[in-house]
Amino acid sequence: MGYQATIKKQAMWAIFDIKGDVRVVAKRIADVGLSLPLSPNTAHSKKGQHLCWIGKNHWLLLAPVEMEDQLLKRLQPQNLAFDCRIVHVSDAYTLFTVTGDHADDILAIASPLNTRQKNFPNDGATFTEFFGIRGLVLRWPGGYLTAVERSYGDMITVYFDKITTGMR
Amino acid sequence: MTHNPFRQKTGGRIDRNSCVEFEFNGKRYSGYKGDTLASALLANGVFLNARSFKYHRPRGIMGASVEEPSCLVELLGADAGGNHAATTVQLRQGLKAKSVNCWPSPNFDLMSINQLFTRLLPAGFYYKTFMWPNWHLFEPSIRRAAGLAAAPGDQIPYQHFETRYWHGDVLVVGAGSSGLLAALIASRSGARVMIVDDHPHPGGCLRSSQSKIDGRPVIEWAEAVCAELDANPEVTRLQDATAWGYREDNLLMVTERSPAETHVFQRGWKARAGRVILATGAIERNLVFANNDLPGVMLASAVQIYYHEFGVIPGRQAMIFTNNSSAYSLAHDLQAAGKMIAGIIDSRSFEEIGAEKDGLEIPLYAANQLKAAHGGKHLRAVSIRAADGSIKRVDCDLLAVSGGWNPAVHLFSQARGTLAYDDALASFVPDKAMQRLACVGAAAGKMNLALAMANTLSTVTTCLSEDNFKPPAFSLPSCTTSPDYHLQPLWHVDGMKPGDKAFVDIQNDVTLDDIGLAMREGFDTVEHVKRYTTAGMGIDQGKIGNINVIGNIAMACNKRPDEIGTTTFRSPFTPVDFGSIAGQRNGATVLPFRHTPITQWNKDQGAVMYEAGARWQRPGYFPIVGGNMQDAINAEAEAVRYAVGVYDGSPLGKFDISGRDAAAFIDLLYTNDFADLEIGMGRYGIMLSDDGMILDDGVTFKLAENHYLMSTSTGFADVVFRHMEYLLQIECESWQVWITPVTSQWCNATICGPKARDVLEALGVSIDIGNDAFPFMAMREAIVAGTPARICRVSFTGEVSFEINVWPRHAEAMWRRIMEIGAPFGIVPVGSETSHVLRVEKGFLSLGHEVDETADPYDLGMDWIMSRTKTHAIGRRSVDIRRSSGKPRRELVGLIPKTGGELVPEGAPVTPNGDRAASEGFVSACVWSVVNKQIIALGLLTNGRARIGETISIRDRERVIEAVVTKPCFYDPKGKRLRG
Amino acid sequence: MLTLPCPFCGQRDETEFLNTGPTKPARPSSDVTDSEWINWLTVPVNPVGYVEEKWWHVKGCGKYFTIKRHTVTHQIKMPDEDSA
Repeated sequence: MGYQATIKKQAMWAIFDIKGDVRVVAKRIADVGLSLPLSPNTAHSKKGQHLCWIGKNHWLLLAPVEMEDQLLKRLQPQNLAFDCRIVHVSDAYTLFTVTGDHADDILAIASPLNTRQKNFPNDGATFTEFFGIRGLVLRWPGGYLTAVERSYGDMITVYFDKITTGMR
Repeated sequence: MTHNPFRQKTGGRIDRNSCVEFEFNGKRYSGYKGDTLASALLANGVFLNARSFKYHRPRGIMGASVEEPSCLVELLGADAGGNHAATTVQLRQGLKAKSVNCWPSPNFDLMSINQLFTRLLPAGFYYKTFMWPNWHLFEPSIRRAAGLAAAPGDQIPYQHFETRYWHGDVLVVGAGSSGLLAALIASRSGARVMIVDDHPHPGGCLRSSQSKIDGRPVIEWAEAVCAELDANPEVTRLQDATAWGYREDNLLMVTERSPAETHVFQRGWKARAGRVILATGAIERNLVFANNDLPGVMLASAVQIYYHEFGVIPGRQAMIFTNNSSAYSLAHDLQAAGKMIAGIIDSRSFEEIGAEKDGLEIPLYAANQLKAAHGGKHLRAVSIRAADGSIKRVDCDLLAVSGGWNPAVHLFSQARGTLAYDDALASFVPDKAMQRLACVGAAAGKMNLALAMANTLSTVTTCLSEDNFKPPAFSLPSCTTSPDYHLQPLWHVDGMKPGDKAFVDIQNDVTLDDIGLAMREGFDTVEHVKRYTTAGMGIDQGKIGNINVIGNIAMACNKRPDEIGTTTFRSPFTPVDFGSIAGQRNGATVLPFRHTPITQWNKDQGAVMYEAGARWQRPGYFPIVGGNMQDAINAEAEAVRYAVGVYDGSPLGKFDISGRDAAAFIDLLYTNDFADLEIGMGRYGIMLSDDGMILDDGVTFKLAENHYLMSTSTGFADVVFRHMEYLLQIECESWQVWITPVTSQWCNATICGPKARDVLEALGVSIDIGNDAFPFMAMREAIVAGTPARICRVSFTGEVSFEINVWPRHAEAMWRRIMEIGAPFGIVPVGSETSHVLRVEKGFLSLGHEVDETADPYDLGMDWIMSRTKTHAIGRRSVDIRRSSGKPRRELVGLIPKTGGELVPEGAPVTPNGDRAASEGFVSACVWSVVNKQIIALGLLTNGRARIGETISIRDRERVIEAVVTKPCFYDPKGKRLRG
Repeated sequence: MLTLPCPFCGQRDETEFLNTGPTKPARPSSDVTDSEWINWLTVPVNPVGYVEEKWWHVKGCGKYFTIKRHTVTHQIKMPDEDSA
C-alpha cells in the first residue's frame, strides 16, 4: 500500500519577488489590495493571492495567473522609482500541491522542516530544503503547496514518483 | 512438514501454523513465522554455521540479538544485504542467506588451514609481515581471505529505500519495561513521542522473564501499554528499528527494517527530539576460558530467549558457567521445562550466591571455574577446575555463559556523555550527559526490574517537568521481586596456558594471548591495544567482549578498569544498509539535475545529454547518421562558422541587480570600469576573489540607471551569488542593492553564424537589427515572431550572435519556430561540445579549463581588463602584490600539438624536454579545429607569452607529444566577424 | 547534524545552511602595508574552543548571520554570549 497523497504539478502562477524596506513595501502592496503578513515565514492570503514573508525585507507574491497582466500593470516591475524592488518571476518556479491523508509524510520525506503547528502555523510559508534543493513550502487546504526553481521541476517530479510508487 | 529436532513440542511465540521455507548456504530448511534466521537454524540443529575471521575456526550462534559476534550472513535475492547477524534477520518465506566468511561451506572450509598456522598469525601480524615492499600489494588478497559480505547487486523492482525526518518532544530508545514506561508517561503528558525498538516485538528482556507486573505476566502488561500508545496519534512506535547513531542536537539516526508500507524496503529516520530517553537495556558479556568460541557455547540470556521466544533449546545436556546471579533464571527455566542440566559452575563462593539458587535441584559447582571447553566442530564436554585445583570433566553439548551485564551506553557515549566505572556491576555506567537526554533502567545500571521501573518513573517525570510538560499522577505498577543482581568480576579463568585459545573478541579472533603480546610490545593504552589487535572492531564492535579486554589490560597493569577507560563508541551501533542513509537519492536522482524548457526537444532529437555545470543537463552533441561523435561535432561547428547554428543558452546565470548603490556595487565586483557603460549596452567583465584569482567572467548589461542584468558562467552562478550576498550583507550593510536571481525567468536561444541576422529577420523582429542600430554588445527589447523578447548581441562563438531571451512559457514554441524558419538557411542545433570547439578556436576563456582558481587576468593576457584608475575592486590588491614579486607565472598560450590525429587529454602536463619532472604547465583544452583543419589546443605555460614559436613537450602517460607554442587565438584575431 | 539559530527563521536544520567560515576582521583600508593585507587575507582564526563564524541560510531566507561554535563540542552560542 503506497501513500494516500495526491501530487499535482501546478499550471502557471503569477509570481513577484519583492524586496525593500518594510514601510515602503507595505505602501506599494496596499495598491494591490494586500497587506503584509505580521510574522516571519507566514503568508497573508486573500482572494487566491498569497503574500509570503520569506526573509528580512523580502516577500514573494503568488497569485492566479489570470491576474498576471493586471498585477504587472499595478506593480510596475520595470519602474525603479519606488525605492523597493519588484521582479516578475512567474516563470522561475515550478509549483506542486501535495494533498491527502499522507501529505505530512510526503513533506517529512522531502524536507527537514518541522511542520508541527507551534512551529509552522496554519498561515506558515517558508523557504526550506526540499529534496536537497531550496524550496518554498506553504500550507494548503488538505496539505501543502510547494515551489522550486523551475529547472528542478522535472527532478522533483521524479522524486515524487519514487516515494509514492517505490520506483527506484 | 517442518522437521525441527531442537524445537520443543510447545512453547515459544512463533506461529506453529505458518511454516516458512528458507535456504542457508544452499540447503533448504524450514522454520516458523516469528523465527529469526538464527532460531530457525538452531531449531534445525545447524550449529556450525560460521567460520572465524582470521583462523577460520568453526563457530556457532552465541547470542540472540545485536550482540551476536559469530554468525554473520549475506542475504541474497529480494532481501539483498550484507553483514547481518543471523540473530537480527527475520525469517521470511524464501529467504536465502549464506555465511560470509567461509568457502565453500562452514563445515568444509578451505581457509581453515589458517588454524595450523596460528602461531604465525599473532596480534599485529599484518603490520609485521606485509611490510615489504608495500602493504598495498598484499591488501587485496588478505581482504578477500578475511572477506566480509559482498555489496548486494540485486534490486527489488517495486521497493525502495526511504529517508524522512521526524520532529517531536520525547524520543525513547528501547521498548523494554523502562522504555515502555517512559513512553507511556510522556504520551500521557501530551508530548509527541517516538519509541524505537530493535526487536520485532516490544518487551525487551521481559519477554523471557517469569516476573509479573500488577499480578499479570509482564508480556501482557507490555501489550496493554503498546495498545494505549498505538491509540495516541501523537505517538510513533517503531519495532524492528534500530537507533544506531546519536548526532548533535538530539538527532537520532534510526533504520526501520519492516515498514508497514509495502513499497518501502527500509526507512531511515532522522528523528530530532527535545528530549531523548535511552532505555537501551544491558548486554550480557562473555567469559574468557579456553575454546570459549566452540559451537555450543552461548550466552545464557540468548539460550533463555531461544527457549521463551522460539521454543528452541539448542542442546540435549546443558551446563551453565557464571560469575553472577542472573544466569540462575535460565536454570530455573530449564528445570521447569524438565530439561537435562549438567550443573551450574559459579566462580563466586557459596556464601556469595544468594536466593537465586533456591529451589534448584542440580549440581552447583560454587567457587569453581570452567577450565576449558572440549570438542571438534561442536562442544562435547567441559572441564571444571575446583578451588583446590582438581579437574573434573563433564559431558555437555550446550554451555550457557554469563559474565554479567554491561549497560548499553553506546548511544549515550556517542552523544559525548562521560562514563563512570561501577564496582558493583564491574562495568561502565552513564555519568554526565552532554545533550538533553536521560538514561533509565538497565541502561542506567539498574539491573533489577522493580528498581528499574522506579528509576524510570522518577527520571522521566523530572525530565518532562523540566521540558514544561505536566506529567500525570502515575502510580508505579507492582513488580514481583527478583533476587538482587550480584556479580564477582572474572576477567579470565585461572590457570590459562600460553597457546590456549581463549577469546576476548570472538568476531575478530583476538585471544587473551594477543592482548598480552600487544602489551609486551608496548601498546598499553586501550586505544592502542584495540588498533594493534583489532579487538572491539568489526561488525559487533565488541559488544560482549570489550569489557574483558579492558578488564584484562587493567589486571595486567595492576590498575582499575576506569584508569584504563573505554575505547570510543562510534556509530553505527549495528550494521546499517547504506540505502537507509541515502534514501530516495539513488538511480535517476543520485545527483540533482536541472532541465531547460528545451530539454525534451533535445532528447526527442536524440541528443547525447550530460551535465554541463551546475547540474544542468545539456546536449553534448547531436549524433548524425553514418558518422561518429567527431563527425557530428564538426558538422555543427561548420554550420556555425559558415551558415548558422542555434544553441540553448538558458543555463547561464542571470541576476537582476538594482538599488541606489547598484552602480557602485558593480564597480566593486569587476576589475574593469563600468561607470561609463551606456544604458542598453553590455560589457564583458571579470570578477576576482579576495586572493586575486579569477572568480567568474560574464557580460553585464545596463538596463537603466542603477539597474543591471548580470550574466555569469553556468557553473559559477551560485558561487557568484554567494559572493555578492556576502559582500552586501556583511561588508556593505548600509548599501541599497537588491539582487534577484532570474536564471530561470529567462530562456535563451542563441542564433549564431554568418546567417544569424538573416534568420532573425525571417523570424520577424519589431526593431532594426542592422549593425548600426543594434551594435555588438547591445541589448534591445523587441517582438520576435510575435513574442516579447530581449535580444542581446553577445558572442561566445566568434560569430555574429543574437541571444533571443523569452519567458520559459514561450521558449519551446520560439525554439521550434527558429528551427522551422532557419531550415532554409541551414540552421542546426549546437551542443556543448561544439560550443567548446568554437570558443577554443577563438581563445575565449572557460571556467574550469583555463580559469582554475590559480589564474589572474594578466596570466590570461587580459591586462586591458585591469582598470588603471580603479584600485578598490575586490581582489585587485592581491593581484598587485603577487605581481610585484616578479616571479614567473603560467600564461595562456595556444598550442599546436604534433599528434597522429588524436586529441591530447585535457590536463596533460607540459614538462621540460618531456622528462619525468616537475611540470611547467598543462593543456587546458584540445579540439579539432574546423577552420584550421588541424588539432589545436590551449594551455597554461610558465612565461608562455615569451615562448611563442618554441616547441614544448606534453606528457600523456608514457608518451611525449611535441607542440608548437602560438598566440591563444586561432581564428579572426581582430574579432571582425563577431562585430559584423 | 546541527541545528542553527537563523535570526529570521529560528532554529533550522544544518542542511539548509552553508558555513562560510570564521568571521574576518573588517576589510583593511587601502593604506595598510602589503604584509598587513596578506595577514588579513590568509590568516584565519582556528581556535580549540569557540570560533565566531558566518553562516548563510542559503536554502532558507538567505540571511548571513553570526554565531559562535565550539570546534570540539559543536555547542553554539550567540555572538554576544559569554564564550566561557
